[in-house]
Amino acid sequence: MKLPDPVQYAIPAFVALILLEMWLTKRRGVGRYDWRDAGTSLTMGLGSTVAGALTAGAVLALSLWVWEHRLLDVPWAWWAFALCFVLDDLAYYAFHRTAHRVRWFWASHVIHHSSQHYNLTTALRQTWTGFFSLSFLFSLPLFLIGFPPAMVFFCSALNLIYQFWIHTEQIGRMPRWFEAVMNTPSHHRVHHAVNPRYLDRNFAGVFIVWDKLFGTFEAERDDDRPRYGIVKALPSFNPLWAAFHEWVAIAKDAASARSPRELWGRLFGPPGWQPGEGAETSDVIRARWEAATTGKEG
Amino acid sequence: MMLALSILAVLLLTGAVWAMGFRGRPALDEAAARDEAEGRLAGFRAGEVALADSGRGAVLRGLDGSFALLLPFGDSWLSRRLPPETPLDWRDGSLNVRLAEPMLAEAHLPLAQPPLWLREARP
Ligand SMILES: [Zn+2]
Ligand SMILES: [Zn+2]
Repeated sequence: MKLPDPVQYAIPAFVALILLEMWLTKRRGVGRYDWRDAGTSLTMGLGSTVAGALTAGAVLALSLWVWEHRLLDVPWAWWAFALCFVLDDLAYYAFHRTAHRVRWFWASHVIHHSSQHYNLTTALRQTWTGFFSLSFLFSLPLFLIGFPPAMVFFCSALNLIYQFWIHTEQIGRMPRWFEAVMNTPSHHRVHHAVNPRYLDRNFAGVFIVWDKLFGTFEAERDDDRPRYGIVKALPSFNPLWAAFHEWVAIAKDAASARSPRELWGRLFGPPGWQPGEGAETSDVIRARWEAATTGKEG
Repeated sequence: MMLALSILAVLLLTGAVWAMGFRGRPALDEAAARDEAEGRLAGFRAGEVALADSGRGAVLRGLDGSFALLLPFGDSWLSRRLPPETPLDWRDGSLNVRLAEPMLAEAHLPLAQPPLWLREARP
């Protein structure tokens, strides 16, 4: 069965919504845009689709190969689509959490977080090195269960499209029931923030339920407004540097590692890890912040 | 063909952001510099503040003796924390700091009149 690529159909809507958001930003004075930042984000988005197209064949071949060894025959039925969508979102949660906790995957995902802005162009700031970092591994279990690759790719495309609209400061909070179940602008602002309280929280794609289930949920607070970006912001708007900077850093650190243990930590430890004192992982930053704030209040 | 169209769309949209006036280069005052440094650098508590000329950046000394550097970057700021022993070299109206990062080897902040604490902090 051949399914259309929903992302292609969504692009005109993306452009229209970006223009609308810019106008609202101007009019209401809420949110921020900067042409240098937006230019980088849009270029990253374009580069990401090119990189994706170059590696799509290999990913498809691997998916089909795994699917041939499937455990069940999942039929083309509406309920199978619904189930596939939910399980694909769970796989996304697993991928995304790993992408923040393991430097190898972070090196590719960091691109999406490298802007200090949070607007709809940030949504398009996507990785160029997803294939190289092996992020497709996370959807292989779905093929092994027996979901046809075309169905899974269709669901992940819908998932990606859903995540576009939540990258905005123009929407405060959605209705209570919606905030409870779905990923929203408010929840995802937390995810993009470097405030110690918000670090490594809200990994959800579509359903925020996963974060609540697995203990990684944090609600946005009005008294701690999110500051967006990464702990050590990029000093350049150059898209090439944005795409490869963490890989360059990994290569340097790996080359100067003095023990197998250090090499392992530099490659697969949490981002910011280093041997001995001086690690700047999100756990360390959060613990330092907690110590400081409880000290102040107590 | 698709690629050429997409490149054109990226250029047009970026141009639209520029044309709508989102090309600011804001200035810092003391309160904004404190807020930015403490908000961006977890655990940093600002003490003294030295604003760069026209507010285009700042260097702050923390209560623990470490420094925070705020450099202009687009319409926002790039923040770096520096250990207390970092040499802050002021010469010819500019504060120069070696950061030794691949894309940021050195930072220069225009600073015609450095405050006393900053002169004292020099090596
Ligand atoms: Zn993320
Ligand atoms: Zn995002």
